[in-house]
Amino acid sequence: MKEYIGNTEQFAENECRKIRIGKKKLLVWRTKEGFYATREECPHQGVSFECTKLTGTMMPSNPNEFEYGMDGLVLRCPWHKWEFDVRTGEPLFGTETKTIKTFPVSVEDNKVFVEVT
Amino acid sequence: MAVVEEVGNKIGLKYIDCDVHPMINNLQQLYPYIPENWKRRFEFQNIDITSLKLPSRYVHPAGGTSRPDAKPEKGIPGSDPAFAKKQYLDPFKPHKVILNPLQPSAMVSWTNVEAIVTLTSAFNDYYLEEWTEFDQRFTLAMTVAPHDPLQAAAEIRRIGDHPGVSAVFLPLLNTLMGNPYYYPIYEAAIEKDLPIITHVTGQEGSFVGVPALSGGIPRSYTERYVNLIQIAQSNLSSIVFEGLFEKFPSLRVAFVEYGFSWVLPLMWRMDKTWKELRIDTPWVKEFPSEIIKKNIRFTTQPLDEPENLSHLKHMIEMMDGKEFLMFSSDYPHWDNDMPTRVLNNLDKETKQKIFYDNAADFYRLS
Ligand code: FES
Repeated sequence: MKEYIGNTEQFAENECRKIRIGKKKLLVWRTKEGFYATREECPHQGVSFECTKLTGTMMPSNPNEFEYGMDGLVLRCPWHKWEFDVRTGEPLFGTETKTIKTFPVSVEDNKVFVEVT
Repeated sequence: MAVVEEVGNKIGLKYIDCDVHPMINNLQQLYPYIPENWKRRFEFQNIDITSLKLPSRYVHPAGGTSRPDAKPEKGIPGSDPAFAKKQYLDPFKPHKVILNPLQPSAMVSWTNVEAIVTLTSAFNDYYLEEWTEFDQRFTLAMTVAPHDPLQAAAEIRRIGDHPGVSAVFLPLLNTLMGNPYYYPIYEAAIEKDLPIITHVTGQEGSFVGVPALSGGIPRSYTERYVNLIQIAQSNLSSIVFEGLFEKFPSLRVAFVEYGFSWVLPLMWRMDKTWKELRIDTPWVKEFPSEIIKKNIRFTTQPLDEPENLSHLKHMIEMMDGKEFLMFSSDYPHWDNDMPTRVLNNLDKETKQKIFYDNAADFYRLS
């Protein structure tokens, strides 16, 4: 079911808003590519991602070279620093098998909806 | 016994021993392989290469690092290939044994690079002629002098194609193996399709310039013996996190005489840390444990012997050790593990891999 969760201007880029739908605790993120929703808690030891800002990461590179990429699309856990793609909830570069559950988000006439299944 | 007849030895398996130590009794044995001017210089210096005991902090408490019963009629244990053949090769019947000479590796604590390079070459030539030509089951891990990687690379190119050479023995300085300092050595080894092995040199923690031991200076031989694994641990982390196999995908590396029971917890820690801090070394593109299993090998001696030996077996299973462990005896040293007496509780496939397949592949000896 689609739930209205606010207007676009209520969301800041690279940040999230905490949304409660029934018993579900979600975070809705605004990125330069659009809006995404994830579960609030890290699949590792359960810390809330609420205070976290989206960031980029160091892409797989050659020895002793750093290559910054995925700017604003990476959710890095504030505790043990596991990294996830905020768009899919998938861990980056095969570092983990646990994923973050994600939920579809849509925007219509400046209104943001999340679909909770 | 049927098995004995099949493979012709008491182990019931064709096997390779990755760690046997040949020695010389005196420097004069090397003279045929040393240029005249250097010979004169060594004579002037009256060098006795066989005695590194005095300056060492860590002298064996029971008088020697060799088996007393391995002493030939003349000379020190390990100095006579005919005796080694009689005492070890003929009764045990290994397919091949890798000779890892320790006297040249002990020169890591010296500072005169030209002398070290000259003697290292002489040792290599001596062992190729006196041992590998004496019995083709002997095959040499040729020593290089790490003090000058370019000259070390030249030595690999000089004799790397010799049929008696099966590896490059890199004694370590206090520079970790992932460091670009060693790259010329790795490049030459790859060019000759030789693996790099590194082995305890006996100099660790005794001198400036050789690998230091962590945390402080141990007081006794025993303390240091137990702590030597630190050196392999640091070098293993360095190799993995410096991305050495990204740089040299075909490089093969083995840690010899560092045991292996420490590898499992270190792999766990490396994997966990990579998961958390991958951005620090983004060139590491897969789990460190996977990199280790693919590219690095560990020899078995000195085996840890828990009261319940099945615990060791379980540990080998837990670490997938059948993929990367290689049997070694350390003959003729005091703490040798003889092939008929150890790792007997492993299943057939694991034993086959650890005693033969992994080494045959690593040293290209099949
Ligand atoms: S709680 Fe998120 S990585 Fe540990």
